Amino acid sequence: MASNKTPDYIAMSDGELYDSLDAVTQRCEEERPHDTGQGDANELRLYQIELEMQNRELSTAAAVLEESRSHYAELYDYAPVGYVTVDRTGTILDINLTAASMFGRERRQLVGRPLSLYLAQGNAQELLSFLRKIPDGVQSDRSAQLEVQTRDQGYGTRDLRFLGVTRTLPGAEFPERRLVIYDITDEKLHQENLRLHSLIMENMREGVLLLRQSDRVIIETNPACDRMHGYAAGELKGQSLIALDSCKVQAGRTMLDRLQPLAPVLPLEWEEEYQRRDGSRFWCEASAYSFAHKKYGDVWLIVQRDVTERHRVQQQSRERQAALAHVTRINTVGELAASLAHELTQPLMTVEHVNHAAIALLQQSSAPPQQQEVLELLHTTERQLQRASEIIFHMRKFIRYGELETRSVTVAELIEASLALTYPLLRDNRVSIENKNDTPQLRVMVEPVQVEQVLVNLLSNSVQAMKKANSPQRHIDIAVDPQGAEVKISIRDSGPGLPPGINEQLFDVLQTDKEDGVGMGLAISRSLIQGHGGRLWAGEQTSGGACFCFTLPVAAREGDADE
Amino acid sequence: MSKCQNIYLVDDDEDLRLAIKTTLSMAGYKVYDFASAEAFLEVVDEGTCGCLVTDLRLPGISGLVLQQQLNERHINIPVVIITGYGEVNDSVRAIKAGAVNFMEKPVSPTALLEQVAEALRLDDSRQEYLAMQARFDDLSPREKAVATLVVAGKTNKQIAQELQISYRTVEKYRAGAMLKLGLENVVELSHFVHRYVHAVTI
Repeated sequence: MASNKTPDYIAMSDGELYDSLDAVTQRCEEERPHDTGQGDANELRLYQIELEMQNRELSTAAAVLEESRSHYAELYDYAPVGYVTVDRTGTILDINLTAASMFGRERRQLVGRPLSLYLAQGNAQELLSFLRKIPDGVQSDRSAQLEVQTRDQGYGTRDLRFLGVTRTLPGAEFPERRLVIYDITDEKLHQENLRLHSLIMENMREGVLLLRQSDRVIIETNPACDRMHGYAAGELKGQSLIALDSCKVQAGRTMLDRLQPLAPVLPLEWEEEYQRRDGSRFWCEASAYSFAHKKYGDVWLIVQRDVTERHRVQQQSRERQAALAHVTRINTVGELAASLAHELTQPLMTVEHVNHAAIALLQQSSAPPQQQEVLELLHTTERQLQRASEIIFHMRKFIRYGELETRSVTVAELIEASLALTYPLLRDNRVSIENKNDTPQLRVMVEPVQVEQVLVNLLSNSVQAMKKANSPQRHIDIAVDPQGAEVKISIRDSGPGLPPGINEQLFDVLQTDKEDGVGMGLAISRSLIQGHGGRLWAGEQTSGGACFCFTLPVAAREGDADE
Repeated sequence: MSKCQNIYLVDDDEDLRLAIKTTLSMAGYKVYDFASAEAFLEVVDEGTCGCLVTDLRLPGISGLVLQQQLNERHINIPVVIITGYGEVNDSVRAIKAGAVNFMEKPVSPTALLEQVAEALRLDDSRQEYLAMQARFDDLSPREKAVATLVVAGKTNKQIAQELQISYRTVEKYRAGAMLKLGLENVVELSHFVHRYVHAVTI
């Protein structure tokens, strides 16, 4: 049974609507030949359904359109670059969120206001002329670029780059300018840092050299490095490290050798003397750091400093000290002169008398002398002459200027040599010596005469102190005590000892209580020992008398000096 | 040639000591050598004649102290001191203490022989002096008194009065003294007393 009631098409689902359409269409077909009067009603229903369907399609299309619009709006708003549309006077017509955030403002605050308001003061005029210059259409000409800075509103400024196109919208009286804005703050900062770095590199006094580890080719140098090695700016770049190594003054480890170890302790540091092409020489202190470079792979960064002046001063001070030590030695010999002269006259006088006797024996006319008798006399003279030469040998060695050269000697030899010089003094003042040394083979790397000088100074100080105090028991104890990498040598006497509390004053220059001393002995002794990498100090006075100790670094092994 | 040819040599340097000994021995002296002052002090006494040659610097007692000790013991043997270098103060002290000479090393054989000869000459007169003193000491107290008063210019009569003895007795003592001293006349007696006799207790 057909109902005359019109169904609610709007409430129907799409499927029901299609079914209704089919049903109504079929009914129209069936009823048309019979013309039941129902035809018009069916037509009407058909229209109704079609209208509803059309309506639904339209609203679907509208929804799609809306979605698409908001998609592009989002793309526009959140694009990684800023977009701003301005009119020819620079008033902001539209701006995306990215651009708005570049200016540090809400979008609604910006639209309708001049863009120049948000730029640094000097940039407003530039913006206007830039806007005028923007050609029509999309272009990539760099001339249509503008770099500006935002106005500082308390959050710092940003650097921006504008790229623009001009568009005339249909129906619009004037064209509008669309600007793309890049935030180039970081880029600018990076550039500025690079500029700063190259300024530092160019102006620093240290020479910088970048070396590729794979083939040891110099990748980069700074002007100081080129200058230091006597090259024109940039000339070293691309050369092998051998170019520098071949200019080393002393033989020995090259830079190449130094950079060779697989697991070096970083930074590697060394000092080396080089000769420039013009023949001048310089001392170079270098430190090398290893790191991985993106482009070059593993590289050495070698920082070099010209330390010629320091070396010159050091050398000068070494020479001065040697000269001073020499003068003091001569002075010491002066102090020892009386006993040494006595020591010399002894053999000379003996020889004279023995000779006199020998001549008399040979001249005897009555009884021819026994050969044995004369021979004995000659042996005596020989012995005595050797004794005299030995004294002169030690004395001459002691007052020689010195070669400033260190060599390996045993501690025992040093003590023997100093006793040879002070023996007469010790004997004349009735001082007994105990020289205990359990390590006669122990060697030190020293300039022997300088250490002998220290020993002579300490021994003679002890003798003078005991003589001055008129000590009844006069004894000096020399002890050699190896302590790992160094050896301690102590000289202990049985004299009055040092007054308490003056230990360090003793080492002051011009400190003396000797009548004929200049008071430099201990000061110089200390600096001589320090020059050898040791220490000299007044030790514990355990037995009442004074005690002086010094240390010297032990030579690594016997024979190392020949290296 | 001196009467006593003894030389006492003290030096601790053995070679030098033997060398000096040879020099002196070959010159005909009788040399006794010692390595230290102590060793010499053990053998020396007031009757020792000859001279001493000693080094100034010795282990133990030095030459100067040795000289002092000899003086203290009234052993006035002539001393020749041999020394090293520049010991001026010591040399002055040694000479003041009566050393014959102070010789700085090296001392040549000739110089040493000269000094030793000089020292032995001194010793001769010292020995003679000692002998003369001994002779005077042999006189009886009366003889000594008479001899002293004679030298003082007194007549026998005055002496007899002073000593409250008889004139004849004075003559006897006087003759006895002259005989014992081996003198001939008053002039000789006067010389003798002035030279060898310092004071006589009467």
